Amino acid sequence: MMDVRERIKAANDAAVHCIIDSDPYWVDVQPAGECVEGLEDHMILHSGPPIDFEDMVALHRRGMVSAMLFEHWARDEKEAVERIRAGEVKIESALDHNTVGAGTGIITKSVMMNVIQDRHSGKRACTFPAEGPYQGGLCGWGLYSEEIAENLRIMREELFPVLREVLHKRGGMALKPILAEGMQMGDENHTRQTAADLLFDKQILPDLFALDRPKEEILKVVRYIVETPRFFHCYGQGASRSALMAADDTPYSTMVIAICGNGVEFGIKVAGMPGQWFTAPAPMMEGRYTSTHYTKADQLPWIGDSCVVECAGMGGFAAAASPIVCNLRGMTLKESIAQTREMEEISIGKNPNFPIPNLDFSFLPVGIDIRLVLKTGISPAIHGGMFNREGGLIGAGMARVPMECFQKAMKAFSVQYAG
Amino acid sequence: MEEKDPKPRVVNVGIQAFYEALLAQGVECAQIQWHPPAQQSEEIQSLLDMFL
Amino acid sequence: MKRVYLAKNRYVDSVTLMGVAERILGREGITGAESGMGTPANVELLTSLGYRVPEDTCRNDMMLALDAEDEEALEAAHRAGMEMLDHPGGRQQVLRDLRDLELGQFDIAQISLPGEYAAAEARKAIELGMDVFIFSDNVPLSQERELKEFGRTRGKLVMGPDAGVGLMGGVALAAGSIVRKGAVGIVAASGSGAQEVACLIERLGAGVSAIIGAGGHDLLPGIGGITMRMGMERLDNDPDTQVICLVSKLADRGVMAKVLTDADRLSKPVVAMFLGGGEEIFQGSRVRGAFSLQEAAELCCELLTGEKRHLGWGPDEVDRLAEDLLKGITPPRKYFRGLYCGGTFAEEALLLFARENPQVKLYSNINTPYTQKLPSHHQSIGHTLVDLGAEDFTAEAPHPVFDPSLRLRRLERELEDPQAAVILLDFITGPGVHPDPILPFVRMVRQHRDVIFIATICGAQGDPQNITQARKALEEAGVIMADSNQLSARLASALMAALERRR
Repeated sequence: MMDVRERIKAANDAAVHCIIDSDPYWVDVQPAGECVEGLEDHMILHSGPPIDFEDMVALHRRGMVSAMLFEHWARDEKEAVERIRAGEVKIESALDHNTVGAGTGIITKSVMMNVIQDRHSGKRACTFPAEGPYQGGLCGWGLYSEEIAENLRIMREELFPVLREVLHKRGGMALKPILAEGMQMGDENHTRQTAADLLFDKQILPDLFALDRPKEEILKVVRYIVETPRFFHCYGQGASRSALMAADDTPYSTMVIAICGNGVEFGIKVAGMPGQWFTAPAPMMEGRYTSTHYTKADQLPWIGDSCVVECAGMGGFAAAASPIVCNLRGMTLKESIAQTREMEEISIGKNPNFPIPNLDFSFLPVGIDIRLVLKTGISPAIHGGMFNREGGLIGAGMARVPMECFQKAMKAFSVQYAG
Repeated sequence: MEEKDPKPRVVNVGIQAFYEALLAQGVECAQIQWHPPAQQSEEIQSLLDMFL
Repeated sequence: MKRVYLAKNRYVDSVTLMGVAERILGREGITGAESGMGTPANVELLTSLGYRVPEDTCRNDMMLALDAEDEEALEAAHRAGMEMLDHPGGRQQVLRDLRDLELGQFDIAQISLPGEYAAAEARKAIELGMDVFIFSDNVPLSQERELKEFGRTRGKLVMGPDAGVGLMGGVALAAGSIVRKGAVGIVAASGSGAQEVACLIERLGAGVSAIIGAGGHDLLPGIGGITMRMGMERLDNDPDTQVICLVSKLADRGVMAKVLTDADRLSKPVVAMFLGGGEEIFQGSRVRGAFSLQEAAELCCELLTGEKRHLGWGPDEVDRLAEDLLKGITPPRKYFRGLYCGGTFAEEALLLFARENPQVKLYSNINTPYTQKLPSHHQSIGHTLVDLGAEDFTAEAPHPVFDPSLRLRRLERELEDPQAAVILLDFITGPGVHPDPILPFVRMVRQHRDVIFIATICGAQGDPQNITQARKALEEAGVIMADSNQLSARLASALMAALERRR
């Protein structure tokens, strides 16, 4: 008769190996309606834990309206709000489906999504691609306009068919080698993926040029890829999310499989308690603003699902790999390394796929254990971008997950597993 | 003073400088990255005692 | 025989793989080693070298291709290669909790946590089969007692709490020095006291088998000398120890008597120094009493070699030296300033001053019956002796052995005082203290030839600070080097007496 601690250890080993043994591939680009499980017609997904329309921050409410207009479920803002209030659309969390909602995370059936499949477990996660010149655009910042609509159309009709052809010809693109090598070159794969972008380019460019298509068509795609800032961001998200989905619903596991915010609340999910959210007020990030104009007064509390990356042992956990990102917050190399070392204390294991030069080639910690967070008092360090209340990225920094989330999770765990 | 082994193996709990002094002496050693126990409620503490 | 081992879905960069392959190639029985990710190009390369690459190899799999003399060599090399990949570099082993360790994985736990947490960690360490050395102070006495009793039931030593110095198996702990190995085993309830005795033993040509720090409270009636007594027994059973030396301040009569009774039962000769105590302590015991740290060291060496040896100046020499030195001192310079970092050194000096010059008024930050208490520990008055490692100083700044800057600033202040005539500094070296405790003082001293400087270095040749060079630098700067704390105090005392006579 195994005691509960032994069961937890075994479950956590299994859960963390879902991440370590994952084998993410970018396999397709499809409309969300076809690849997002449970995404119905007249359903809008958003970032962060579940929240009612009335309680949302302005950015999310604007995103809801934008989604209605994009899908032609309303003709103008007034009608959109009326229909939403009348309950004509379902509103759910992106992380309650096989998606990740970075930023505002606005996803509806017609949004084109990158499909990432973890070949180890078979799980598929969908993330929305960056909208080129529109920065956050519809999905990331909840904006909608004629220009944005047109851009989305161009992406859907002109760019993605070309990329799909490349993907099908080569049988998908392996993402882990890019993530790993990128982190040996200064990325942490949350706020910085400069190296990953270049490694991705190296892979895809020859395949693009080999296509039997007119040069102008190919050039458009090339421009989109190389000119879009943080292009690889969504792939790291998808790789993380698909692996964490594999770990989800591992009985007895205390590993965190989701961390996210909606500007009002922050929420975590735990592998051993599928479908349950543990929330607390969303924290404010500390970091550096892109301009001296901005202050905390302009800043929104955390909004976005991109912390799946930390759950998968990158981002804030990979601080040692990316002193440049940490330096934006005034940290030294030693302090960047210390941040990763600190994360080791709340992690289940280490990921042999990610040896890091600044750690003397030791491996990054992976798998957040809620028990260790409570025991040490150390909360996961999440890297991310700071949002303006009006929308728009105004800086980058770091926040800690509120301890309350872990306390709630631990109590729920004991109710489920002790009695 | 010690058994058959020439040098004792030492684990350091606390001051980093003392750990470095052990390394400098070529001692087989380790450092415990100690943190004061988090201030948790009695309820959480008892859950940790049960599950950790 | 050739074989390709696959690590499915394991990404390793090519540089690391090359390193692993190189190291495997150096192994006995291995004639070929190649490593690479399962890309078509690499697969082709291996195939061309005659390896059979498994059919299900994909580009994300890591291949380790080995050519060896036999099956055994192949398997061993494979295991070694995977071991290299799974446990890379990292001389530094940093763990999160003592409980992550296995029973018997380490021999000693050196604990320097805040006092309220030290006992709990020490207990964990004892359960894991280790002796513990606790540098932390402010551990409640009741916890110390429980811990020491628990350690005793497990046959484990609890050194400290408040142990500043240790030497076990040749390894210096905390502020200890790397003293030459030899036959004298020391058990001490005083850090700097043990340090001094050990370093003097080395200076006298002998060596030390161990320094077991019992901690500042071990000889209180509430503890009863548990560690001192256990330590003595250990040394008695240690084949490398021939003489046992006990060092402590004057302690509770009952406890000292118990200690001496135990000492009499040992098979080896024992020397004991209870600083401030008299001959009557040793009545009825075979234990040899010493009454200064220097004397303790000299007695131990005498017991070892049969020869009597003394360090440094004889009494007449000291007086002559004092007179000589004073020729260079002109009014208004007339006061002695002792700036100590070793607590026991300060105490030993004070005892000597009280004995030899009871009429001289001496100020100090420490409370003794023969000194006046300084109104402010930062400001010297008349003849002053300060222990900069005492609590009033360490509450504000790190202990001077770890951070010399406070003492440097104090020295500066003393040098601005036109009445300062003699300044005494004790220096302590070791791998755990400040890497350069002496040379910053040399620079300051060099500029002030109008003051007499006396200094001692309590350290060993094996310490990283190079005490020979440091001594030379101090001498060249005009400092009078004394061979022991006792001798430095003797010289200071003679100078103080002479200065007083002048008035």
